[in-house]
Amino acid sequence: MIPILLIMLLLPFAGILLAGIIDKWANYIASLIGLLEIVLFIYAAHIYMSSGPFSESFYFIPGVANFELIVNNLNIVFLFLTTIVFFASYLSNGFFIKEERSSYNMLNMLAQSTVLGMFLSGNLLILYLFWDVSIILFFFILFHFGGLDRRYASIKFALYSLFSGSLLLIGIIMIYFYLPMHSFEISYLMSHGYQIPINLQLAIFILLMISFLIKIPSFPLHSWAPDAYSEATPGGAMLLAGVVSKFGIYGMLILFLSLPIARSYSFEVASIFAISALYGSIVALSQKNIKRMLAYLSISEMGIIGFAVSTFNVIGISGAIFGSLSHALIISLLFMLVFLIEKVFGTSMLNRLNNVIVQYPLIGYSFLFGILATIGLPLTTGFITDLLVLIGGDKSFGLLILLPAAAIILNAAYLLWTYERSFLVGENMEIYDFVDENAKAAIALLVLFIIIIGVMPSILLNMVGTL
Amino acid sequence: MIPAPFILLPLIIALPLAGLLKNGKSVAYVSVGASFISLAMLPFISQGPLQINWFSVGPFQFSLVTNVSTLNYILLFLVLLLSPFIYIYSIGYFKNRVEYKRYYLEMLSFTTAMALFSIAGNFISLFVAWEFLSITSYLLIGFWYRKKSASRAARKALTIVFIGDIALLASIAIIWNAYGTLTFANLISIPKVASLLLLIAIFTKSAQFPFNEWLPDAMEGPVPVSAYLHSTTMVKAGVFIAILLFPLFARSNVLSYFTIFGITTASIATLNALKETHIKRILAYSTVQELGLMLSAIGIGAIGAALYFFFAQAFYKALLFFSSGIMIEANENENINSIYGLKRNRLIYISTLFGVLALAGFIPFDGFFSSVSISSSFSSNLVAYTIISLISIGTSFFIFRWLFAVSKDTKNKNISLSYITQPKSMVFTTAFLSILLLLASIVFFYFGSLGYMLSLRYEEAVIETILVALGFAISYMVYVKEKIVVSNRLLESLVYNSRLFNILYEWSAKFVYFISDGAGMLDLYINDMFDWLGHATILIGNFARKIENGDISFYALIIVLSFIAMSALVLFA
Amino acid sequence: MISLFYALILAIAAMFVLNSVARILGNKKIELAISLIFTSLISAVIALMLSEGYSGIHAQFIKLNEFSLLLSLAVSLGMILIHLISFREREYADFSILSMFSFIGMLLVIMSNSIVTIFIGLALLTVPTVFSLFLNSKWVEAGVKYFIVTALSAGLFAFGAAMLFASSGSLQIAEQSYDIGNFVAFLLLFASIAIESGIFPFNLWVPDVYQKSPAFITSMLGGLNKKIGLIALIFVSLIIFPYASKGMLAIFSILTMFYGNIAALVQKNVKRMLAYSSISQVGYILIGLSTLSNYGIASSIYQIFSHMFAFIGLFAIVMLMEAQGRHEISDYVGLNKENKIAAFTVAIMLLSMIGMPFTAGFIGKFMLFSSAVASNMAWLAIIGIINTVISVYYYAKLIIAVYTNKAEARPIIISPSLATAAVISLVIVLILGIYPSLLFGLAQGAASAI
Repeated sequence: MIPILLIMLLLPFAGILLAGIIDKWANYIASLIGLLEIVLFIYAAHIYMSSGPFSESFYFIPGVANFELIVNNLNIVFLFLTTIVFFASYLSNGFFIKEERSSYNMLNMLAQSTVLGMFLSGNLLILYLFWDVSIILFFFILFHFGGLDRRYASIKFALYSLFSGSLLLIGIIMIYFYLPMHSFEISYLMSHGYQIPINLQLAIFILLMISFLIKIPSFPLHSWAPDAYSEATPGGAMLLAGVVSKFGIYGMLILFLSLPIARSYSFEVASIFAISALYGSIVALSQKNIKRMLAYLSISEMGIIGFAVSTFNVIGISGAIFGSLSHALIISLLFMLVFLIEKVFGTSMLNRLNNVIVQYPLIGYSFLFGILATIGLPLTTGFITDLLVLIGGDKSFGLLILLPAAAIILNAAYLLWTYERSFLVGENMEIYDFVDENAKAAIALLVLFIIIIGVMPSILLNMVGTL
Repeated sequence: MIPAPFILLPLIIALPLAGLLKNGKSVAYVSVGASFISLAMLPFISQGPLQINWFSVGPFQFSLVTNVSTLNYILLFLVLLLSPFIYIYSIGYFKNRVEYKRYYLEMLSFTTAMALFSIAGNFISLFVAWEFLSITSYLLIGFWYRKKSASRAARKALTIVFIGDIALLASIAIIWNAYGTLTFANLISIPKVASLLLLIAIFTKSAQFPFNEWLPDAMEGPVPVSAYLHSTTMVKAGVFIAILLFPLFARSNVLSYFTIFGITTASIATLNALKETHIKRILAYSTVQELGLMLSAIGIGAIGAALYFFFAQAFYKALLFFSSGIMIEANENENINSIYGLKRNRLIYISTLFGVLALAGFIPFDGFFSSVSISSSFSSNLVAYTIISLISIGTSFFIFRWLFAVSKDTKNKNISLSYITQPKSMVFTTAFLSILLLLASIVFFYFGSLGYMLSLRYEEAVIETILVALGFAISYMVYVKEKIVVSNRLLESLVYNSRLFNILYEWSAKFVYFISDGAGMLDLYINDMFDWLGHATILIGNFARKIENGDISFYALIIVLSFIAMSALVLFA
Repeated sequence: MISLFYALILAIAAMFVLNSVARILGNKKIELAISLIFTSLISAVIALMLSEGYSGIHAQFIKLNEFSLLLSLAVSLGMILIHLISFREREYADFSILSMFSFIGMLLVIMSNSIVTIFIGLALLTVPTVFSLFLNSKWVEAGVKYFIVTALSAGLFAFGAAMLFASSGSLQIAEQSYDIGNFVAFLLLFASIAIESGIFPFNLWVPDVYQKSPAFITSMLGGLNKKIGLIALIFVSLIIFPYASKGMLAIFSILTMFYGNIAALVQKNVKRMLAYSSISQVGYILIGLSTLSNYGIASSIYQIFSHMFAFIGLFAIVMLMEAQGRHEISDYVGLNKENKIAAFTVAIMLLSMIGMPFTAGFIGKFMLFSSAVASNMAWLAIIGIINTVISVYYYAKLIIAVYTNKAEARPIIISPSLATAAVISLVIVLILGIYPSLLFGLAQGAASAI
């Protein structure tokens, strides 16, 4: 049997070597790797669909942890979104990154390996290892290639994320020692988590929830996100908002499925996320920079997804997993477009942008599509998410769904307002740059997947199954 | 027999086809052809429900259900009957404008959404159609998006309608959790919260108070869009759902809200229409008013009256919009005070006159029957009856004012010439609609056979005729003979008071923005708070740096002192 | 069977002779070779002793077991690296001999079975270090300061040892027992060792001395001398006074971590910042010691290893920069453009000090925190975590400086010996991070052998 998951994990390293040797072609190599990862994912998904969850195990620290990689109903959608968003970001890098291409693409490929490793790991220790390494890689992507205020943003990102990672570390160490058979295995945790004494469960739950709230990011621990997203490189912002924020959701899924205490505090958690959703959209409304607005939009949407996880019923959790995918695709599309706008028109400030749709219909229409998908246009992924989240939320918390519902309405309100002010009316502007084939391909890829999965959500929902 | 969803196929196939075509005209012909094919398929579609499984979550199956009942059939018929008219009219309307392709693509999706809406059999397919309606109407209202007011109106429309969309989604969630099914046929009752949320959805879509402001603004769209929007689609969706789900609303005791809000809206809209000078906005206010009346009739259980009104209103409203489109084109102006010479084109004039008489409620036009059947159903409630009577006078008053204003004569040769040279597609569709209008009046007598109770009491018929004549008389005296001078201030104060809600609306938008600004500040503070945590740490670090002054004797002293302190602490503790 | 003691004396004598010959010939390379061979020989001898089961007449002073073997291997490796780093310096000839004395002192502490051996070992370690600081007039200030504090430390240690002898009648480590009279002795010994290894509040001298010393001596002070102090602390507090030290070590650990990290935040000089960072690292290591468990000691040993190599490897680059007169963090800007290997070394070593996965530092910290959790002291682990996050700020400052682009960057050439030292420590840090099982079992064996 071919160790397909290990190959998935190590393939980027082949790309790194190649990109190191022929740095002129670094971007094509990275895109190729991205494509191959999608192919590998499809193969893995095929195995999963035909014969159920599977795992690969390798020797790591004897007696403590094996290097175990798994594919199951929890992580398969996350793997999917990782491969797609990374591929899109590789494609867009061809347009955005003109200098130090090889090192940028190498960093990105390394990041893909760690992100995949984080979702693939069947073992909390390995999960943590990849979780933390990815922070450092994104830190480098941020501060070496990012925008003008990148120093501040990157250090802030690193401090917040490493704090979150460290709390996670303490949490998993506690889990290890208080499980009856000392073990880091996720499957063992899920089946025996209830045997941890209740007060320790609470401690673990609080530590991990704080960690995830930072990572997701959720109010009130979100301060790193607007800076990081708006100062990052285009690819960096896509990946941070699209993929890295899902770490927290994935962690929460494991936490909720393992520790019974999580269920007794689910209302509190749901309230935090509901408030976060509303808060994000309220703050976004008065932002002057579209990038920051999208950052708060992302916070709001992630609040909705976190809310869905805490419902803890089949529909809610399916909604959260599906919503993660939907959010990843849509927000990375929107972020890429706003960076394109910045490159083409030289600004992303609301009051300086005019009449984008006439001057660049491609960007204008794609952005409109992104907005409509965000607010839940049927036949895009956004609709399925909204439907499942509200059904799941109502099942567990009744009228608390009105908060996320209000957040969705507010999101629509300011996005449309923004669109009206900056895209539809006003004088023509100067055009500095032209969108090339790479960026067009990335847009097409994301739009295509948003529609395909929106029309046929069963492709992914069947993989998630009954949980 | 053709399964119901197949009726959408010509429209759906036309979409990519029209997208691929380069020539604007051929796009138009493809669209017109598609709409005719759909209309031709209508008699052959099979009745009854049809289920298409969409996706499943765990054990739960979500499916798209279509259903063709009498009600669905009526709406579908209206939509498909009027769409060829609209499409043909648009060929002429867009003759001097180049954006055929975008227009027809958006229009085709709009029609598709509306057709899907007409045959929706469960909440999922209903919502899909409902949301597509919102979004395509956004595109159509903002069709001339470079005009600031058009963009603004489109945004306003979608923002308000979207509140209803999410309310609908939330009520779907509640209904699903309560009964595990979303098919209309399987639902016997729905939770009260869900029905209230549905109410919000209906009110936003059908522009009822307090969500009534978007519809008049939506007049920024092209004329055929307005005609379509106001006659059969979009705004009718809310009323249609109210009729379709009437038993569910009745069981959850929310019907009175329909009446209260409906009559309020109708009164506000009538007051607004009295002073308005924009040719299309007057018609828009009249639509809002008619929707209010339909909903209030539903509120007291007069489904038959509401449904006939629903049916009849489509024709004369489309007709009036068509003719106002011609007037706007001829005069290149949208203000009724600057529009002249409708009488120059007899055909249009007579058609328009038919439409005005129908809207005002003159016998024997369909407007008369619908008004009478509604006022008959209110005859037991004196307050409501009075208000409705006043509304009848008002309606007759403002629509004749409209007619008198646009038909005043002019010496300008260009205008009379341009009336005659209007595109044939526009003129003939308008004329043809007036014939349909007369046919619709006859339908009244057969309407009862569809199973919906209709009552036509002679007292009310007589009273109605008197009221309408009264409205006409006042209007004639004021605007033609100029015998009575209506104080402008009085009208203005009425209009101002009715626009108070609009001002409230703007204030609440400002308030939300203010809150958002505040939250933005709060966010900065939260950010700063964490930054200050860092600054404080660095401050301590600076202090630590000061301790280390490089003096080794000081270090030795510290070492000895801390040893003593440590010993003391440990030994005595 | 040969006696270790004689072996050592013989080895030192042989090295003297060879070194003198080399100096007469005036060939530095031979000196280096001799020192390297010598250190390797000594570790080989120790390994041999252990394998034959050493029980000589000096058993009451010296003890050989897995612990001393592992640590002396580490120290030998560290010593070799320091020789490689310092090889190009003008003062190398004298330093090589002096450092050999220190080396013997280190080994004595590691193998000690008696308080006296620890005392002699510490003296033998510090005095030559002081002398090597007197080799150049620029370093004298640091030398004097170091001399004064070590003298203070030695005084306290002697006093404590005397009190211990007075109350228990023996100086054997194994024969000590806890009573109130001993406790004052413990405090004295603890203070002495705290000065040596830089535990707050006995650490004030550390930044001054580290900053003013040349980089290769700083690397020895921070990489080896400090660790030897910690090993002495293991003997004193864990074996002689286990119950007295538990809470105390935890408190000192917290104070030291916070002090080191917070003070490091505001530093601009690289060496001074690293001095504070090494103080905070001592704080982390104390977490493991304060658990008093085998696992805790094993984790401390692991962290001693990881920090030793990270520190020395980093100082190979500091050495390189210092030769160009670049001392401040801002001077490191553009290093990536100038020398990729140097920049990569700095990044990895700093990441290891932060505790990034796939570096030795991560496994060390992971073990330390998990030992705290295992001993029901999760709060201590959380405080450690908070400190880790604070520390990211200043480590990241240096990493950012290294990877920030500079307008005019000329490539700088790194000398082969420095490169060797950097690469060796890089490899060790990465291997210990990726295959922790290499050292994991050994550290646990060593901990249980004490």
